[in-house]
Amino acid sequence: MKDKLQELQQIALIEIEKTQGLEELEQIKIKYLGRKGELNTIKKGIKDLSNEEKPVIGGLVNKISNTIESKVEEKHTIFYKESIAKKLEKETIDITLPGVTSPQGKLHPLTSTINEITGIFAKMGFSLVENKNSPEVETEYYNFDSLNFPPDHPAKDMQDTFYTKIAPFVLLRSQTSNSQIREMEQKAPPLRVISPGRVYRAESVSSRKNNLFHQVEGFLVDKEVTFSDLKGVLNEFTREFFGQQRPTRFRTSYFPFTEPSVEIDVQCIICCGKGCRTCSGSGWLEILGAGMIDPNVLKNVNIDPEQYSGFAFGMGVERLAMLKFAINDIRLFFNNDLRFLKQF
Amino acid sequence: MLVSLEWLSSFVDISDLTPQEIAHGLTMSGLEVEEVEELGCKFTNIVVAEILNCKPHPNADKLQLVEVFNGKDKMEVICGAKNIEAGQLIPYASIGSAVLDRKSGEAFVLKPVKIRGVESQGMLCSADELGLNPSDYQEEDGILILNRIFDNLALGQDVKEVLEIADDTVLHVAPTANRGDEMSIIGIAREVAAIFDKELNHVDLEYTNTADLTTDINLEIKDEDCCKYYTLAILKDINIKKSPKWMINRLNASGIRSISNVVDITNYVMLEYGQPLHAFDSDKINSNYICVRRANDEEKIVTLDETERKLSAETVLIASDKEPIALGGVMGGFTTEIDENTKNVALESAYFTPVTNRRSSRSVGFRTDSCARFERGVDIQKVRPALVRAMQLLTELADAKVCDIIETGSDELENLEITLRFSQVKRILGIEISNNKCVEILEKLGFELLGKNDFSAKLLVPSHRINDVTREIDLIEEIARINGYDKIEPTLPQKTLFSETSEETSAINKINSIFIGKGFFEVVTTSLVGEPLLNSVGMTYDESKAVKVDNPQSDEYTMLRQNIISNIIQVVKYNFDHGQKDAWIYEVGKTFHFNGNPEQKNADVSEKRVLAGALTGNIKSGSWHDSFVPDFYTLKGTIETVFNELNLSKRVGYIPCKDISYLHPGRTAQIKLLGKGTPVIGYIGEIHPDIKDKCKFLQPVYLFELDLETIIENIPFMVAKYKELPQYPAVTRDTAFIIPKSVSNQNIMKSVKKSVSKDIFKDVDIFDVYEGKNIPENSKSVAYRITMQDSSTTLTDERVNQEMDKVRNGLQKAFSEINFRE
Repeated sequence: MKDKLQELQQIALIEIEKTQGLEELEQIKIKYLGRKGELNTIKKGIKDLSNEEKPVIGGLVNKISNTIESKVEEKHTIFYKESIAKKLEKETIDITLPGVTSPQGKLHPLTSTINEITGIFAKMGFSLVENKNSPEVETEYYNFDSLNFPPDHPAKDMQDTFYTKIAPFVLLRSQTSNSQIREMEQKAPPLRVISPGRVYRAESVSSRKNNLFHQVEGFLVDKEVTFSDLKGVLNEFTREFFGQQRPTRFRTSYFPFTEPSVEIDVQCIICCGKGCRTCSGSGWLEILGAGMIDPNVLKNVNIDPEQYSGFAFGMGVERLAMLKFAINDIRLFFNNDLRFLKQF
Repeated sequence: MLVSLEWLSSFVDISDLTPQEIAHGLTMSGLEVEEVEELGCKFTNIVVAEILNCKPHPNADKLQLVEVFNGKDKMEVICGAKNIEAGQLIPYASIGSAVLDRKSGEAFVLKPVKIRGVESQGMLCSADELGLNPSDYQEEDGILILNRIFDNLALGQDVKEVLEIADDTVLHVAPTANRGDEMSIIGIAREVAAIFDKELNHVDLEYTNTADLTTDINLEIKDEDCCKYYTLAILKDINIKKSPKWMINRLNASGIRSISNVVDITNYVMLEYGQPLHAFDSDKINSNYICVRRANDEEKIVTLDETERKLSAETVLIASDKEPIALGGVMGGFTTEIDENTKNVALESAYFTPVTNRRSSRSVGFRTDSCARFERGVDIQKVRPALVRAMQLLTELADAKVCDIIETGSDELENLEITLRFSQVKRILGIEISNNKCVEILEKLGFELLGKNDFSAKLLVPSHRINDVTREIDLIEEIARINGYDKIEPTLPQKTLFSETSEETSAINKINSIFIGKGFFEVVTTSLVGEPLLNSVGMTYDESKAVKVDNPQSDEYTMLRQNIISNIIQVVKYNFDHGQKDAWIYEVGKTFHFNGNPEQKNADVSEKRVLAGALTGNIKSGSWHDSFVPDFYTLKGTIETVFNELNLSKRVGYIPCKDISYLHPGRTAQIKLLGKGTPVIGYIGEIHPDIKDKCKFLQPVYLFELDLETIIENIPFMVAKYKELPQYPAVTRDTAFIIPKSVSNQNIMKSVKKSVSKDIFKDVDIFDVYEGKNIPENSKSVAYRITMQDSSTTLTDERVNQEMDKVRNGLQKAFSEINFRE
């Protein structure tokens, strides 16, 4: 009886091992462990055995039953895992297909450049000019006279101006500096204002020049403002905009509305100072005009130059964007070719 | 302006400075040096040699074998020139010497070469191979025959020596508009002396009358606004000839070609002193009266360039009692021109005032080197010294007999004294510069110290700076730039100031992120437009409100735009024409309308910010995933998002609109802001088929334009308020019906809202619209979902059904032709 049972266990284990799938396993489970299964049949016969044999065989049957059960369990787990794996396999997707995004547009490179510039100055406490103080159609007074341009001075030739048919003294502003006067006329120092905007010049359109472009003008007026502050603020700007390591130089220049005046160059970003076509061999790129606000300009807006001082600066947005993005034709900004706009 | 360093070195010692150091010093202190150009001899080792004999090349018809002798050795050279023969002295370049390429002008080193089997030991040079202009030396092409031009040649002599080619370096400088004094070699020498702490070596010459001759010419300045001081020197028995080589070299280095000694001297003195001069052939003046006056409208003059100029009252003239003889301060007249037969010269040196000179040159429409100086302001006290310098040169180089200087007007200046408070230097610059250093710098620049104490100094402005240095601040700039901007330490302002963000800025930032997030590209278009653009997109403009340009460069840019839609259509067209058919774009820009009353300080033009854009094509098309077809409602949805984000969605109304010329009359909405005044704030619609055809668009284009100004003015201040989350579930019910197409969604919604009890109404949405198959013509099938919720209890079916009955009854009453589908 014992031997028979041992044999039965062995056969059962082999059969379980050989099963190919869940269904087959279920059948074998019924065959051995089912209500009418072999072990149950044997169990039913135990009552006919001798008293000595009863516990021995009974124990052995239970043990074999447990062994087979755990073997079935083990095999079941394997089959289950396999079947899940198969199911998941079937569900496989091609993860190399491109992701689905909502279409993404972009800001125009001029707008993003203006935002970057004004953002840097905002960190230094500069507020954006009020729109009403930055008109593009302007009078000679705000575009020239109040900014200390002497009448009929060749300095006016620096900027070929579009005049309008509205009146001989109404023009399209040639610089954003008109906003400086208008802001100062209306507000009292301390003032820190940044004024981006569109300006016009009577030039023929070419790859280097357009008849309109954008400037960012800024100024600061307070007590005890010095040329040192001008250098500090504009150094911070160039470091943020062109990178911490980029050398700058401040050289003397002339603008009617500032005294002393300065032009600020950064080391050429193309050749790093060796000299190339972009920087006409000088190794430097002119990026900013600035200076201490001329006392006459302060007087024109009723600010006492003995009490207050200030500095002003201006830069060309297209020029900075062209340098930054290596763009070689200013007209690209205004054609708005989508293949261009998508690059920034 | 071109500055010869060789010339400069005669006024200031620059022997210890490289050209680059000088260029850097000038650039940093305000005279920008745009280029440093090395002049002079680019060839090397070319010597005078004699042609001993010429014989034909054995293997080439056009070449000769030439035997030359350089005083030591005989060499055989192959040459293709036709103008050579035995006995000539020519420039000979041996192997290893540098010669210029005739085409590129670049120097190259001669290497041994075999031509058709025969080796050439060097080459014979033409003028251009030496960097010279051939026609300056001989008429025919070919080798430069030295013995025809030069005497006393020695075999083996360096040709550079023969040609007197000077090594020189030229600085290309760009004086700023305020610095007339830097338009001269002496002026720049003064700058260099100040920057590098050197002495300026220049003393004006004295005039001595050597010939004891007198003149009877009378001078008169008729208009003192034009000319303050006019001098004339009369020189007799002049010998017109070539200028000496040193002068030609200096003029050439300055970009001026030599003409004759008299003309060259006037140019030379102009460059040296910055004072333009003009020489008349005094025998051609035919009068003993010369005046400075304004022209009248009928007058004409033929100028030196043989061009007839029409004159006006703005034009300043030099005239005899018979005729105009020169455009004062601009250009001389042709009738009194110096020529090879000139014997007697009247040499003019004068002070023409900047403003009138500028107007005068503008009135005749051209400028000269003289104008560039007069309009910046020349040094009135150098008018006479410059004339004396020219007289000296004419005596030396043209054998002139000096007759006399006659003059009218005055070169006297009122003393301009400025007090410099030393404390102001630090107040403006932020750094300490010692009092002595300040004064020292100013003195170097020609300012005269009149007095000084611990707090201030009084300085006299020199005549050459009278035009640009008039105030204390101007002195401070002089100190700053000569001391060096690089010595000023950068600091940051110590005070904290808050950077304010305006309502407008934050609204525009929101708008940008909405459009970009939805796939639109921002565009920046021109605000200068013209009829060609407007015509190409079928648009017109309001003439009475137009801001037109008085001096347009072309008909493409004649006025400021009155709308942005034209630009937007143009951008769509540009992209369409370049194969980009899916364009979702927008712009925030200004439009311009003239209101009619300009004043000195107010142009009276409304500059309104406008938001406009277009949507055409499917920017998602070509995606492998799913697709949707963008249409009017895609664009409308974007605009709704904008209003939502600006807290204005409840105030916006869309009204069907048929009269916008560029939009489809059946597919256009006027957008109004409900409430005070119900202003129209814009339009949205499909492009009008006429414009679509005109632009050759093959697909619908949806456009919108919004008045951003009014929108921003109306943005309410709002902070979201939390509402208790509902405790009881919401119930949704659908209703579907067929209804005439003419009934708008808006009216159906209104009816539904009115029907449902206010306390439980939550929402109504349209979720299906269908027209076409199985639906009668002129009808549509629509379906609405109604959401109800009671905040105090769970709604019963019975209650909900009651409400739905009310909805259907309400609709039935409002729209008799309704046909429910349940």
